[in-house]
Order: sequence, then C-alpha cells, then structure tokens
Amino acid sequence: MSITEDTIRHVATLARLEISSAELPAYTGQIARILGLMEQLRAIPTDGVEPMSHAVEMTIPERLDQVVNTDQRALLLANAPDVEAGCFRVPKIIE
Amino acid sequence: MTTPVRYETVIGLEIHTQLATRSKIFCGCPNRFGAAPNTQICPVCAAFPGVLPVLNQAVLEMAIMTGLALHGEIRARNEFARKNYFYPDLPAGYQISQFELPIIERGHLMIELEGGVRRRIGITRAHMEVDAGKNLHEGIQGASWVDLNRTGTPLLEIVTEPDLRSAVETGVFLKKLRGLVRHLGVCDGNMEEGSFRCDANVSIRPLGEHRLGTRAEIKNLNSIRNVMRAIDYEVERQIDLVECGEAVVQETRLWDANQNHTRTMRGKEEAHDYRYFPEPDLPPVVIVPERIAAIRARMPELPDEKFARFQKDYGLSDYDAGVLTAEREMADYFEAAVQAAQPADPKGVANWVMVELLGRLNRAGQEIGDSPVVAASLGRLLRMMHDGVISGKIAKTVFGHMWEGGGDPARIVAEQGLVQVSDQGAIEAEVERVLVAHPDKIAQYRAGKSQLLGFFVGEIMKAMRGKANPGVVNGVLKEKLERS
Amino acid sequence: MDASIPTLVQAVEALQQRQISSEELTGACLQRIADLNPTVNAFITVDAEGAMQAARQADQVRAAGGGGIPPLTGVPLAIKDLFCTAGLRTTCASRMLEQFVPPYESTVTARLREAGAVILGKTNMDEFAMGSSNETSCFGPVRNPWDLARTPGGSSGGSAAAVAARMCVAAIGTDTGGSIRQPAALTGTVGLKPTYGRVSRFGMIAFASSLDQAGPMTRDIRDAAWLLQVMAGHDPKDSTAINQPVPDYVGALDRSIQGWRIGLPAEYVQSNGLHPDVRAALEAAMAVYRELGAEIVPISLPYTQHAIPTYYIIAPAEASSNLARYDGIRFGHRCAHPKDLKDLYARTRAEGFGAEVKRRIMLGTYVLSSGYYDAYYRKAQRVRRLIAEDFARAFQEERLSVILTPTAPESAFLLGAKNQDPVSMYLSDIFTINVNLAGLPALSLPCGRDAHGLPIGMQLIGRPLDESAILTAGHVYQQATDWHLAVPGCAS
Repeated sequence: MSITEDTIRHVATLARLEISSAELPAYTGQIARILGLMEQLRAIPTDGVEPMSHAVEMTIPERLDQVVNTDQRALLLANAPDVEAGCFRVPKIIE
Repeated sequence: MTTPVRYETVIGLEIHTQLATRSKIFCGCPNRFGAAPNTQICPVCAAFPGVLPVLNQAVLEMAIMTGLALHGEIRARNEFARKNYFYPDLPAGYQISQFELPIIERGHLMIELEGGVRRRIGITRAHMEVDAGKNLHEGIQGASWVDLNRTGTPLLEIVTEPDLRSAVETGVFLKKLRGLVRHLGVCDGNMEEGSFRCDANVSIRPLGEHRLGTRAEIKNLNSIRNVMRAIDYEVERQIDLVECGEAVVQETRLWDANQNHTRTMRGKEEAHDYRYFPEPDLPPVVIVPERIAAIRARMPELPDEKFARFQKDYGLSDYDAGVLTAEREMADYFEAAVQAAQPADPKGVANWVMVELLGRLNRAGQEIGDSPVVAASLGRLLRMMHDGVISGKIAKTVFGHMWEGGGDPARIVAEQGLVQVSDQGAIEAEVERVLVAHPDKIAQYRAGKSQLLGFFVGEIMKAMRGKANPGVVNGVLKEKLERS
Repeated sequence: MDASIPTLVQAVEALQQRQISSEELTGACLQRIADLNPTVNAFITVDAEGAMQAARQADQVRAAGGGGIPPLTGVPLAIKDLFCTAGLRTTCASRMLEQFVPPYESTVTARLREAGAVILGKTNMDEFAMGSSNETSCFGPVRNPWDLARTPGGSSGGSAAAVAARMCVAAIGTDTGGSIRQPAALTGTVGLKPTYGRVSRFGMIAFASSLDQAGPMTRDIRDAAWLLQVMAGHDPKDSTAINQPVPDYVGALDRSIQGWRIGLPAEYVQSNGLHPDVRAALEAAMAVYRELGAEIVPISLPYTQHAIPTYYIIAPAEASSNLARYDGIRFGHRCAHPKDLKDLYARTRAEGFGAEVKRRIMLGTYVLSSGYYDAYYRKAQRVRRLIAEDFARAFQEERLSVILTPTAPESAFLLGAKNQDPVSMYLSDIFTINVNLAGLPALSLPCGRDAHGLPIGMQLIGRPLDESAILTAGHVYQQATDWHLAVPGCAS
C-alpha cells in the first residue's frame, strides 16, 4: 500500500483538513514512514483472535428513562462563534 | 418485431422510527417535538468536549420489543458503532449507530393483500441509533441555522429485504408496520412530524431476472401516500431510462411532493466513506435470555395474534377480524363493547362497530379515539337489543341519540319511551283493532293472498309507533287470521 | 528560592495541625508559579483569584472544625488543561480551544473540589495530549526543571514539571500511551495510570477513548495513593467506568513485599533502544527489591514488539473521530469569513489544529477508511488482544504481584531533538504503550540518575484493579531509597 500525495489529499478531504500543496510532501513522507512501522503486523497470525475494542471486559450500563436536564441554551450558545435566533449560524447549506 | 420487455419492481425500505421514550437515548434531555430551538439540549447532545453517552434503558427495551414483534433474532451481544461524517446537524462529527452487530436480525412481517393474498416481507435488521438535529434554511438570508433539539432522539432503524414488488404492497406494508409500532407503544407513527420516516430503495429488472437492478434511494417521503407516489414515479423514470438505452445511476433522490417527481440530491459527502468502528465510549450490549422472556411477557398481544384470536373466539370473518385488529384502539374498543354486550353475539357487535360506528366516524373524519359513543355504552345498547328490550330499528334510533349527545342507552330509551312492547294483551288489542278495520283484506288473505301479512304487520307497527315486538306481533296476527 | 513546598501528605498534616494555612500554602505555590513559570512554562492558565478564594474557604472549613473535614481541604493542586473546569478556560493546549470555557465540570476535578482541594490552574501539555515531549503545545514547550534545555516529557509535561519544580503540592495528568508515566520518569516524580475505567473520563477531553485514563502526578508514592483514593470510583456519567468498590490504597502501603514475585520482561530489558544508564538503574532497583524479600522472575511478553504499530493505529483512529466535533460551529476556533460549509470545516480545522494533531487525524482517517479497515484497524485490534493476553498469562502462570520495567528508554532528551521525526518520538513510549492497550494499572517512580544527573524512572505494572500492589511495591522501595527526595536545580 504505497502512500502518495493523492492518498493524503483524499484523506485530508475526508477529515476536513485544508492541506496546502506546500505541506503535502512532508505529510506524505511522514505518514508513509509511520505506516511503514505498521507493516510488521501483517506477519502476525491472528485468525480466530477476537478484535479488542475495549480495554476492560464489561457490559453497557443503562440509565433510567428520566428527564433530568432543563433548558440551558444560553450556557450552551455562550461559546459559539456565530449565533442567530437561538441557533448556531453556519454558511448557507445547499442541499 | 420484438415483444416489449416487461419489468418487475423491487423495493426495499429503511424505516426510521423515533422511539417514544421520555428522555433522549444518551442523555437526560426531554425527547419531545416542537420546542424552541436549542432549548432541549445539553453538552452531550451538542457534543461538547469530554462528555460521554449513557444508554437509556427504555431504548433497549423498546428495541427488543419491536424485534420480538417482527419475529427477529435478538443478538445476545450487540454493539454500538460510530458512523463518521461531517454535517452541521451532526455535532459530534459521528452518529452513534450499530453496524456489524445490530440488536435485531432476520425478522419478518406478514402482509395481507387484496384477494386474501398473504406475503412475507423479510426484515434484514433493525438497529438502535441517534437522530441528528435540524438545519434550517427557509427564509434565512445568506446562512443556515442549526437547531440541535432533535439530536439524541432515539431511533430504531428497520431495514427490509428487497421483498416488496409494488407501490401498493409498500403502502400495505408501511401501514401494517406503523400499526405495529403504535400498537407496541414504541413510536407514535407520525410521518408528518418525522417520527416515522421512510427511505425507499427502488430498482427495476426484466421479469424473470434474478439479479437486482441498480437502485435509487428515495428520501423525503413524509406520508405513505407520498411513498407510493414516489415509487410509481421512480419506476416509470427508470423504465424510461432503460428503454432509451440509458443506465440507472446509483444515487440518492429527493421526492418533491409539489412537483410530483424525484430529483437527484447533491452529495452530502462527495465520497461516502463512513469509517464505521466500534464506539469506544460504550461497552457491548449484552442481553440475557431471561430479560427477553420478561419483555415478551409484558408485551401487548400482537396484531397478528389478535387477528387469529378474533377469528377463533368471536367467529369473525377474515375481513372483519382484519378491520378490527388494524389498530390497537379499534381492537380494544371492540372487545370492551363485546364485554358489555354479553351475552349478545360478538358478530353482531362487530357489525355495529364496523357499519354504524365506523360509518359515522369516517363521515366525520374522526378516529376511533374520538368516538362520542364509548364502547361500554354501545355494548349496553346491543345487550338491550339482545334482551328484546328494544328492536333493532329502535336501537339505531337510540344510537343516533348517543352519537349526538352521548349518554347511556337505557336512559335514552326510558326518556324517549322507546321500550319495546312485548305484552301479549296489548298487542292482541291492537291486532284486533286493525283486523276490524279491514274486513276486505282479511277475506283476500284467507283467499290465498298471503303477502297481505306484511300489510297487517305494518299497520300494527304504525299504530304502536314501532315499539311492538315484531315476533309477538307476527305470532298473534297469524293465530287470529287463521283461527276464525 | 526556597523548596519548602511540602508533599501532599505533609501539607495535609501541616494544615491539620495549623502549622500553615491554606492561604499561606496556596500563596506560596502561586509565588513559585510567578517566579518559575516564565521559564518552565508549566501552566497555561493560573487561576490566582479562584485559588486564593478556595484557600480562604478551606481555612474556614478547617477553623470551623468538627468531623467530616474533607481529606484534601486546602491542598493546592495543578490540573492538566484537558479536564473541563466549569467557568475556567480549558484549552487542551490547542489553538482550537484557546477561548473555550466549559459550562460543566469533569468528574475528576469535581471529586477533587469536593475533597477540599484548591485548584491553582491548568497545566501545559502536548496539544490534545498528542506528543511525548510537550513540544506540540500551542503555548510553547514546557521546560524540564532538571535542565531547562530539555523536555519534561509529554503529554502531561506541565503537570510533571509543576510537581518537580514545587509549583504545586501535586498534580493531575492523563495517560493514553504513557503521558503520565513518561514525564514522571523524565522529571524524577511519581505518576500513576490506573486501570482503565477506575477513574471516570467524564469531562476529560478525549484523545483515544479506549486508552485514556486520568491519574495522579506526585512527589512520592504515598501522595499518589492519597490522590487516587479521591479520584477513583464509579461514575454513572461514564459508561466505561468500573462499578466496583475502591479499596483502601493508603492503608495498603505499609505491607511487606516479602515473597512477592516481581516479573521482569526480557523484551524490555533487552530492548535495543534502552540506554545503558537506564539499564543500570533498573538493575540496581532489582537488587533493592531482592533485599526487601521479593523475587525477580524473568518473564516473556512476546507481543511487546508490536505495541507501537498497534497503538499508532488504534489511538489515531479513535482520535480522528473524537476530534471531528471541532468544526467551528458550537465552540472553539472558527476561520474568518468562511465562503461555504466546506471552507468553514477545512480552514477552521487547518488553522485550529497543529501539525502533530493533523498528522494523527489523517493517519486515523486512513486506517479506518474503506479498503484499509481490515488490514490496519481490525488487525491492530486483534494484536491488541494478543498483547493483553501476554500480560494476563504472565501474571497468572508466574503468579506475579507486579511487573517491573524501565519507564522510558532514556532520560530527558533535548528540546528539538525529536520533533522533526514523528517515528523517533513515538519510540519514546515503547515501554508504556502496552499497558494502555491492555488496560492495566502502572506507575513510574524515580530510581536513579544518568551521567548528566538527570532522573531515571522505573515502571511497576499491576493486575487489573490491583493499584494497591504497585503502590505498595513503589512505597517500600521509596522507604529504602531516596531518589524521590532529590530536588531539581531550578527549584532548589
């Protein structure tokens, strides 16, 4: 799996990161090197090994279906960069 | 000349049902429609840094209940996963959903088509997930607004197999499914408000072909009628394309109910790559068999079970049982009326509910829940008819009064003096008077014109203002006519 | 300058006995911060006013007397700047959150406040905890109090430096791949990463959710036990928090370790990157343990060598998703005059995140993307299980109480030495990462000095939820040695 500048450009688009063409070669080289480290994993036999997504075996806890929150709009809008009519304002979304 | 190709339509549905819990799926905010923007959110809904989701027990139980009602397998170990994409109504940048290990798999729902045809529609899976917020555009200059109130509303997404073959079948299926989730009390089924949403995957293929054609996913379907219209339009569009030698493109299309067509939707994310992975903030969901059994035990009777029982216990026809079990409220009404009417025949009760009551409700554009006549009153009315207190004809008059002003049938009958007269003496006296007034007719009757019996009955009933017991009148009349 | 800032336990005793007031102690810490922070750069935000007010309140609580005085009443602490503190700016050392004031409090800081602690301020760190040298902070690197040209380690470098330089009594850090233990080793302090789930993650800004864990950073083991006692415990707001009673860590410290079996993994000791001075210090520590009656048992953890690639798939994958919420809409940095939605996202995130964070987001996005998930992410999750099973097997089969390893391959390196090469930087965590992947408790404590006089740390790893064992093993070692009493030059 060779990493090209196109790969990095695509990944940056998916991740919503603007990467300038000046930055692209350095990121490509670094990420290619890091991914090079990963190649050693291929040789490890892992058939039948259950993937581990959690550090500790446990099951999901559940909370009771109760409303405990009240209106806190003012508090939650306080950090927003652009607010209008009680809403978060964003550039026009074209659907 | 070649024979024109005939096409088969193939439809699969993705239905998002908003679960009718009190609070949201992962936080303690109210799960309610219609509040002022962003007044029903907290740091969890708005995905502030460092906050974490905690699962609402009711969501899990409603999912299990729906899974059981759909005859699905409940996965003993299922897990939440993150679906990653950027959109302003998705504050975390990922939707907590289920991917590889959904809670429900391999279910089905039977539907009844016209002519008594029954079809089994496969349910591929159903999974729990979180609803997104809303982006508002209309009437806003140069910007969109984001309202996160809906963020965190619990959804059960139900995915069907591509088993549906027409718009009509799809309509029947959706009505049945909506009836089911309402019946279970897990969703209010309101399509206009978006608590029951449907996307349709539509494709066509030449009849006899087994491979699936390229599908279009149609969104923005806010009523069953629109689902059906959109499918009809889409099938026509696809056939036109194919007939012109063009290919159907796999894409998402929006239904425009005003223009009556579907149109392509510009990509939400130009490259769809959701990068699903197990949600590290939520350990796996483990469901033990005892819990499933307990939920099953407290589940209401399912519409199909009710249907079979109505046929068996009440002797109802397919059609009657179908009408009476289509909605839980209807079935409950019927059973309460049967109870109050005892020992009157349940079939008679069914007739009254379906003809008299539903007829009036339909004309008034009302639902069973709006009926001014409560089930117990209707039952008591029918009981009075059964006991011979009133005739069928009078019962209809009384029902009319009950519809207009409500109230107890016995009181209406008493106040209006509508009690049926079965007293032998009183009827004999009236019969005597009528016979004396018509000696010519008696002669004709005795000469063989037996149809004149109806004339005499009519005269007696007229004289007694319809309250005479018709059985008694008939008996007395025949006896007198044939005696002398 | 005086080095009279006490340890946590000393402070509690002095406060109890009215030898000092919290106002005096907090004032002394703030003075040291004022003197040293311009060079050390350990704090991003100092809340002098809030701290003094809390200190005065604490003094009133102690003066009122009576029972039930919370254990940390009046003790001034420093908090890594990724714990959300209501009303107090929380930046994660990122331009993205430079102005972010959380409207809620993390469970860890809430528990500390309830226990009476005074919060001095928020400490510097690698941006979003991504780094091993504290050089990725948008507020500039932290300098190691032992040698200002060197790194204090990362990502909890500010907390480690603040403790080492006596700018606070103790501090709180977080550890995703070694971010508490490695800086502790590089600054001659103690740092403990508890079992995953022992301490609530609520309000801790996420880096990699399945690996992140908060823990104490202190001058000695006893202090760590005291802080963990307050921090640990179930939290209904964190679905991954373990719902089990918290044992008496402090009470367990003074046990004997006679007969304990201490595992020594060959793969760590024989590691190529291990500096001879570190190896020598570790061997000296083994001798101390033998004298204390413990047995050193050679063990093997064969999957250790795969820890770095496994970690650098899983952690960036989770991070790429966790950091998607920074979009300039509800909080945080937003680019000027976005021309459309795409521009809003791409420029906001490009401006708000530093290079290392972007690198990891791209790496994480790549390993999760269509076509690569199985080869990278799922593979890494499988190897993660093998790594975890390595530890479980060793503990079980060898009947170990704890495992002993070096904490870091070398002592504090020079600022700028590795920050141009991510891979060499990642190797700094080679001995600590396994523990996070396996979810085990581990701590680092000082065990020597190198040729330059810089501190060297060793790591003790415990069974799941057996923080008591590593604390006891660390404590008896500190009773027999004095490495933990050394004061760095700039602080003496």
